[in-house]
Amino acid sequence: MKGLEDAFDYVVGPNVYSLDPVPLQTQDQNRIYPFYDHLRENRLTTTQCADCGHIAWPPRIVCPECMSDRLDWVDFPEAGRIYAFTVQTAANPPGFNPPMVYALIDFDNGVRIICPIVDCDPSELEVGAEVVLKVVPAPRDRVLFFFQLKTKTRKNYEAGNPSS
Amino acid sequence: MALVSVKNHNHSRHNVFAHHQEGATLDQVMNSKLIASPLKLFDCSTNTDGAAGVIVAKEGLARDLCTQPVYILGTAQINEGYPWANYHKDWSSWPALRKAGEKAYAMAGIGPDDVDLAEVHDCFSISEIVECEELGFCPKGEGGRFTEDKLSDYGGRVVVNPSGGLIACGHPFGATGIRQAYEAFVQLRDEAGERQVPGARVALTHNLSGLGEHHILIYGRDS
Repeated sequence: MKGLEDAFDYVVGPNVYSLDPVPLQTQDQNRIYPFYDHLRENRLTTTQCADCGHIAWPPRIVCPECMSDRLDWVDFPEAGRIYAFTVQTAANPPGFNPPMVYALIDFDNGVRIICPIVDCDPSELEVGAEVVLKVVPAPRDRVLFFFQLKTKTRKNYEAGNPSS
Repeated sequence: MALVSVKNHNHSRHNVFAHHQEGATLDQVMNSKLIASPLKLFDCSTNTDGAAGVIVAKEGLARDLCTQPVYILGTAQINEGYPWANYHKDWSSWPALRKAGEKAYAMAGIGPDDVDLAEVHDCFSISEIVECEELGFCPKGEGGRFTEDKLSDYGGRVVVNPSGGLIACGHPFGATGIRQAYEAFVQLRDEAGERQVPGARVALTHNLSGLGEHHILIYGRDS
């Protein structure tokens, strides 16, 4: 996605355009703050119920299946696969420049996430392609997460295997 | 999907309150600008300004206020809860709408086959297709064929969005639901002019919001 910095200028910068859409992420502000702490360590996590085993998404403070509050933090598999995607070419929010890609991403733990995919040309995408986490700094010491194609990560380039 | 847009744009040719009254051809829809694949400009409802109003009264009072009132036969509202409570995986199914439909039909003592016209929330063309399925106008997965076979048009099984819907009337947030009630009102009073659904006895309106609240009202008339 191009122009993320522009977008932040709109929402929290000098030209405040609208409400700040980035969640407050510290312990005194948010009960799922470990999720954001883990993101800062480049880990995507969610909660799993210690009683019924249900893996929730997004992370919870109470299990939506059995109402237990005995929840553990678990890591996502390293990569997910694109189940479907759309390319938004017009009517983007101010500061978010087209094209933007939104995808449904399937993980082996049974979770399906809807999330933008960044750092790609829409023509490079296909259903089934592997994507990995991309954490992006947000204003006021916060983070946001997106996904990127696994083939485009530094590790893959260094392994001389950019297209696998 | 494009045929939903063509149908609704052609319906609104007879609606003086619609934002778009020029009609549309399949070519026009298919050649319109891509917004978010595969949705094109004509698949999307138009942001517009507008206002609408209704007077709601007790049954006995309504007959004093108005010579030909229409009646609310059934209603239901169910919240999908996404993306917070019930983050569902299959975006082509709206289980909350199906449940709300079943409850509203039960309250009205009718079934989907009894509905003569429906104003549904076609914020995008695909929405109308999913809504026809979830409201029981056609089986799941056949909403596209249902539209293609003109079963959601005049002379079909149920006239869907005779006003032109959100796609062709435009979508003034907040006013849309009341605008749908207005359409049910004029149709059930045989006052819809050229877009009148012949012999309309039962009308259904469906509205939703970005938070996934599906709200249904079923209207009837005297005799």
